[in-house]
Amino acid sequence: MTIQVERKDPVRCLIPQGTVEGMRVPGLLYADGRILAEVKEDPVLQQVANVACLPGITGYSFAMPDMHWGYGFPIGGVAAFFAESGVVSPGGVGYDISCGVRLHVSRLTEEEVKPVLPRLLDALFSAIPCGVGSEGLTSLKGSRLEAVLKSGAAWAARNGFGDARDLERIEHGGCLDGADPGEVSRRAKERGQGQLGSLGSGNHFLEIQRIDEVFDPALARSFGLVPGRVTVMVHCGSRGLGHQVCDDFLKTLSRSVSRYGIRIPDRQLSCAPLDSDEGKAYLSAMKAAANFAMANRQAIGSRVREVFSRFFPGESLDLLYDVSHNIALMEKHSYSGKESWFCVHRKGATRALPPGHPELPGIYSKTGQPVIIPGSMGTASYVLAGAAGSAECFCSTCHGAGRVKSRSAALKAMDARGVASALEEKGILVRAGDLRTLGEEAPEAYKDVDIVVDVVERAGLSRKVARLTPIAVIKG
Amino acid sequence: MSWRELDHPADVRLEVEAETLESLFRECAVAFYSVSLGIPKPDFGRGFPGVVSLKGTEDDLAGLLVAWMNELLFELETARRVFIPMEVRIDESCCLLATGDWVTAPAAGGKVKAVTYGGLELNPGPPWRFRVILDV
Repeated sequence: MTIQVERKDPVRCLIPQGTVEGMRVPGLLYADGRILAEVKEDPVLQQVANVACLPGITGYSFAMPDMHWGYGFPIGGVAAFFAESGVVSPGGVGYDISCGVRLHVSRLTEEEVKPVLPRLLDALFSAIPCGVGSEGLTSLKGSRLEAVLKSGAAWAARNGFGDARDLERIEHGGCLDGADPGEVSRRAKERGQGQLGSLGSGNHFLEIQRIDEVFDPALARSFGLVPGRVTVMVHCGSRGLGHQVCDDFLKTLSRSVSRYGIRIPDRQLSCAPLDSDEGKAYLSAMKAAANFAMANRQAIGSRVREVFSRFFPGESLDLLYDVSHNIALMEKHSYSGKESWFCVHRKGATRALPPGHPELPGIYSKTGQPVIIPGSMGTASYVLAGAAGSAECFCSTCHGAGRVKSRSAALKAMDARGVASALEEKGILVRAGDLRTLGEEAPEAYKDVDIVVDVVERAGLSRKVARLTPIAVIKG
Repeated sequence: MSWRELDHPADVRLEVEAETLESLFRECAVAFYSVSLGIPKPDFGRGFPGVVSLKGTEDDLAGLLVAWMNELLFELETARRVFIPMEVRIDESCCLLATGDWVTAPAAGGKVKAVTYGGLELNPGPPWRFRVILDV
């Protein structure tokens, strides 16, 4: 079925309510002509409309410009549900719960790093487990795993991975309150116990980058971003533990939809009322998995620092921010002139709090929240800042470039060795845990991140601060 | 090959075909290991006899196929072993009993991170046809 859209302005399109039977709100796509041309025949539009059918959805079913076909919810989707009448859906968070990204900022210039870059990259590649089936930096069993699920990055900082100063620069201080390890299944714990401190595979990566361009000098200065200096970006999530939590609750909640009389157009949209036992259990387990993900990134970030300090003693590699892009959070927002609580699902979308928002840590209260947008391998990434216009979509923005080409099509276009050679011709060194993944993640398989970021800025959701280009990549 | 990859922008969408329901479960195992371990035609040889049993996990056959592949994923990731099903039995209440061999896997875990319910399609046969999206 082709979904018709109506252009509202140069960067917004509507899927009118009624396009699909049962829609409770319209769909709102952040897309200019270039983005729309890429997605107009894609099932992602049907998925945006399907999400609009869920009970308690408020405003719109949103899709960011990096939208693409997901399972149930679209990737790039944002949906807010009234706390009193809404639902929570594991499909609205995704399998990789709290998959996210962090950025460490150095005081080193590219010229200082370049002479040792191959050795530095090799040292990082051997220090940080990555690729299919990789095992983590530490094994967690029994009470240690429970502590990680309860305390998140704070556990990591207490146990030799970084320090407490990092916590202020992690969303929610690195720990979601209300996590209940008791709601995480034995199977999920088994999958996660050996994986803390590992990148995993797929689109996860570690990248050494150069700050290429600054768009807002004052904001960039506040974030410590100086052109020519080197940054390190880490993209990964909750590994097998998060995937198992999602799978477990999709099963549980697929049974609860009939109990609560909820009609869903796709089984992957299984959900439960926020005030139901099943809904509360999922949120508690999801928070535990998110804490695991934040601890995972903290452990990796700490190991990156250790490796850098061997080459550059005294380099502190400060954390700019660590933010999730697969999560559902209870948040207070103003809607129709009234403050209310909502469960905001962001699946492949990032929270983007504007300056002055009460939930911002003190260091970012005047600047707005740093938003880290990873590009595709070999292309630029961005640092954005939350802007006032994001209130329209419950303080959200995009999360990356978004795929346009299938993995098999990417491999047909260029094999892994070809991708590695093409990157090295651009001066980008590559190490990969799994060579096949390298081919599947070729830059051509993704939308142009410059266009994606341009759309969110023009829509007023966030402001461009700096553009980062890779000089070395470790691909999971 | 009784399975193939269909177009999907981010993950792996599989179409698996077989003459009988029981052989569809066996073919799904082959397709899962092939994608997950990156081996076009998996041939793991003989191992130690064992069973996989799924009771009361799903209400329909499409869900049972997802649960079956997720069970293989779990064992691959946590016990580093591959299951080669010889005989598969499914009863009327959607319970599965598969007998076969456990073989040590080349690695703990694989490329597939979850078998999803997204875009799930099961067309009864013969031939039986199943479509499923794997999260990678």
